[in-house]
Amino acid sequence: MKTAVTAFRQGISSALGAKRFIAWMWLGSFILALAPALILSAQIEDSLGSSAKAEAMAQGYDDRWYQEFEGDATALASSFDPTVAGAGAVFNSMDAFLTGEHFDYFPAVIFVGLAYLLLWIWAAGALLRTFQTGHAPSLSECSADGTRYFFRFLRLFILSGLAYLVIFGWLEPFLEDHVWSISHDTIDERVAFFWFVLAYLVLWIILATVNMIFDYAKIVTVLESRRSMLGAIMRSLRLVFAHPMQAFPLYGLNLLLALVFLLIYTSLAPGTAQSSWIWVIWALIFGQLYIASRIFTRLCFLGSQLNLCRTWTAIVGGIDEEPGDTDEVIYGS
Amino acid sequence: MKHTILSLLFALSAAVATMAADYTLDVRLSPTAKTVSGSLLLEWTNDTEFPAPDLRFHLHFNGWESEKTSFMNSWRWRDRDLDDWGEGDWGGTEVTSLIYVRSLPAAEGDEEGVPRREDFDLTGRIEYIQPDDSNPHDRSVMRVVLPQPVAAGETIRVEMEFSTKVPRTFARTGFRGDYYFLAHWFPKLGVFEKNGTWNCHQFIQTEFYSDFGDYDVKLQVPAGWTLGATGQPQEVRDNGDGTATHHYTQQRVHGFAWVSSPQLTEHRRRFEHETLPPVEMRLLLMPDHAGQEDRYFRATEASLRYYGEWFGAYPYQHVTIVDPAWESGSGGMEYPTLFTGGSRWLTPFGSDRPESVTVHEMGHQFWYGVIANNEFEHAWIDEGFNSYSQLRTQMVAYPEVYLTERYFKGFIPLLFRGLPRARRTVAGQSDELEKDIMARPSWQLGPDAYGINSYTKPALMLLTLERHLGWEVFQPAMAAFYSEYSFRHPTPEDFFRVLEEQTGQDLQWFWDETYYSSNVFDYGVSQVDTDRLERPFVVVRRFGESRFPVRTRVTFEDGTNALEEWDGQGRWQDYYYEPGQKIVRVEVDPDEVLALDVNRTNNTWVRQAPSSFAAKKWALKWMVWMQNVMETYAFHF
Repeated sequence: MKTAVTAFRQGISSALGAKRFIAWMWLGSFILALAPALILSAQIEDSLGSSAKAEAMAQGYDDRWYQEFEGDATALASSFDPTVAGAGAVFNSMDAFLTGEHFDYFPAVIFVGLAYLLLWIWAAGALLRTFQTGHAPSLSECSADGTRYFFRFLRLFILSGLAYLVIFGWLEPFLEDHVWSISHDTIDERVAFFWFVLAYLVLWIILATVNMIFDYAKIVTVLESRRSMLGAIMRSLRLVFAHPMQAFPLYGLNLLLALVFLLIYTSLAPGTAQSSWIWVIWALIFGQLYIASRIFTRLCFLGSQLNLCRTWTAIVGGIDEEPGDTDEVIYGS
Repeated sequence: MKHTILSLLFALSAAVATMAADYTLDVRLSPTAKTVSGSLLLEWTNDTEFPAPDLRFHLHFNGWESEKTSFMNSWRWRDRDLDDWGEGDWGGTEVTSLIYVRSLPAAEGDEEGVPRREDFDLTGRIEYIQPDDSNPHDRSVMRVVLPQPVAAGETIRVEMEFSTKVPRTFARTGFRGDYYFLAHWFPKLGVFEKNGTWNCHQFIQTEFYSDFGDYDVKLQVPAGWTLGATGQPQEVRDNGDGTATHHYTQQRVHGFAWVSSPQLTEHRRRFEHETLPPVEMRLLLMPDHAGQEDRYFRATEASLRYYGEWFGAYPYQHVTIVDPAWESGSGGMEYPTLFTGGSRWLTPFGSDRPESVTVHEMGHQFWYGVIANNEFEHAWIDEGFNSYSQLRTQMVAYPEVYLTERYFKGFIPLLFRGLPRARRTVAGQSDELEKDIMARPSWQLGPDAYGINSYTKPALMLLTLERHLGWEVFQPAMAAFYSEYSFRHPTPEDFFRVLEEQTGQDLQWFWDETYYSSNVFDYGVSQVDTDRLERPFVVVRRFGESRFPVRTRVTFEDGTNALEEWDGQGRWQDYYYEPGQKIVRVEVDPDEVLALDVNRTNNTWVRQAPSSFAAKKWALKWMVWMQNVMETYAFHF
């Protein structure tokens, strides 16, 4: 546990030292989301026209207008829902993810999501190299590292995609069917809730484990400069299950950090009442701070896991050599 | 005194009411076999001028007999996933004995006090017919040809033995665990109409139509189980064999439903009002909804109060509110003097449950319980009238309702206080409205046309009429309809006639535009030119095909305004003003009289509408949501 706490602290320190990276990733997120937001804005503006409903929507919310808008909505507009306001922005997406419904969105939303994912795949190599070497790279170094690991991580992403496909395509429906089956005669909602929580805890633990294994696979790919992603996964598996009492608590600590940010945001998130630009911009900044906190948390995950991995593998410095595909050296554990 | 007068009025209305079928039932629930079996005695008076050559009974539970029944193949249920259904989950009713009894004139030598009777065992003559769709697998209508027709005015008796297998609950009735909700569970006579034909449709939708009558019912259930039923409890007798018999009676109702479970807890409260008779409210609550008693009672009281004040008093002295079991599918349904609400374990104040469903189902005690239209053919009368009345009640009793999003498979609610919900509207529903007309028999309306033509459109049709005529004119007319048709089966034409008589207006044009048409109403601002040096003008346009008189309010920069009237018949109407008058706001139908307008956004024009600001404000919120989705996607790597 002590090792995990130390690694967690180091992870936070690493993430804090990567402010430029957070800024770039945030900018990527902002730009990618801004384009469809501008399209949606034009659609909403077109629907409101010169009507008094514009006043109502500027002051707060008009459900009647929304029903009309929704009735005519096609394409991107159909993804607009007033519950995106405030805490709903986080809960809607998180709930969809945790219950396996996050690929049910309108195609353009999925497309933008996948584009951002590609950005992460490209950036992850550079980020891990930064954490590994401990010094801030130049833009060209960053670009070189990102490109160097991009296709390896793309292959890793495809493999992780298969794992998530099994989780969300088979395991989640299986567990849900099973819960419905055992609560066939349940008439007390609390009992059913208990069964659902239990089933989803199983799902989320598996999800976290898979996520963790692929994180460590990325880390060992960089630390050990691996080319075989299957090899990296196997190596990651061995490392994680050789040190479960360190790997899982560390994951838990990072998760706790994410929950703290979530709690702060959902408690303070501005709702719908902004009626002047100042308050709209404040709401936007608050939302962006939360997005930055999510990126920061992701960096904490990777940074702390990299540090923990180092204690397992005893690799202190960077490896610039390519050990090839036969690098199945088991470092001291 | 007022209560006495009301009671007398209802006694009087009962005297002219349709009252033909009295039932005496004595049954036993077996939780092991999941059956309800016993005897039924029907006394029926043929109050038409025509002889009845046969009798027709609904066996509703035969709708659950197999996957081939008309009910299971209806548009509403055909896609239902029954993979988890086992052998014991299906339902059905078997009549094992049917004795037809005719009273004979007294003859010499008869024992005093013992009426002469002639019994016919017609069990062998039972047949199943399919008057609606000829589906040979459907046994939901049972017919028995009589040895002699029942003469006009004659009263006959039918004695039956029957056994009903209770299905796993969905579509409002059945069992789940040890929760049993029994509705339309016994062989029930159809309605022999005044024209001498049977109105006894197959069971395809969960809507009903029956004669009024008196019920005397004995229900045997495991001892210790809570039981609620139509009517008032007379006694509970412990049978000493682990069962108890609950005896209920009720006069002047057209059905009998009951619920039993060891899980239900009982709560009571009395509704009292200055001018309305008191009503004993009995709530049977599931344990996971403990603490919601007050919400259920308050909503029930709201209906009793406002429906009573506006249309007429609730004529019974009691009502039973059933809080249905989780996932039992029995929620949100009305039965005489008993209804089911619906709630969740976690349901924040300001969300609409259990209030909305409770106001609605209690409201059905008026529009369905007392005004007993043929739901199968004219569902819009009870559903539409009730949705309209519910809308009015909720506007007074629960003015603020907020959007509630439910997370984690619906278990965890989040109430959005910044997002007030609109009441029932047809906003953005042009396509649905145009799919069919209200005048079509309800059971023939398709999946996309039933809801809107039975609930929303008629509710807003009545609201439009109320606002057009004025509440002071409309309310007495509705009250007159309620009074005239209490304990009877009104048709749409009866309602149209009463309204026209009471208001003194020819409303045929309105029925033509709404009831007999699938066209939509849409009036709006088409053009505003306020910068012209000559004469600024406004053009109001009829975008929809339906016609309605509309008022337009034009507001000028100096704060004055002009009210313009238009009969709404043409396609457009223009209004010109004096040079120099600067128009700042135009509102078509500013008082929202035309509740059926499908697009209210185009009803207004504002000189400096903050559309760009509003659009960007909401698009930026969406953007933050989008970024959260993106971060969630990024988790996959």
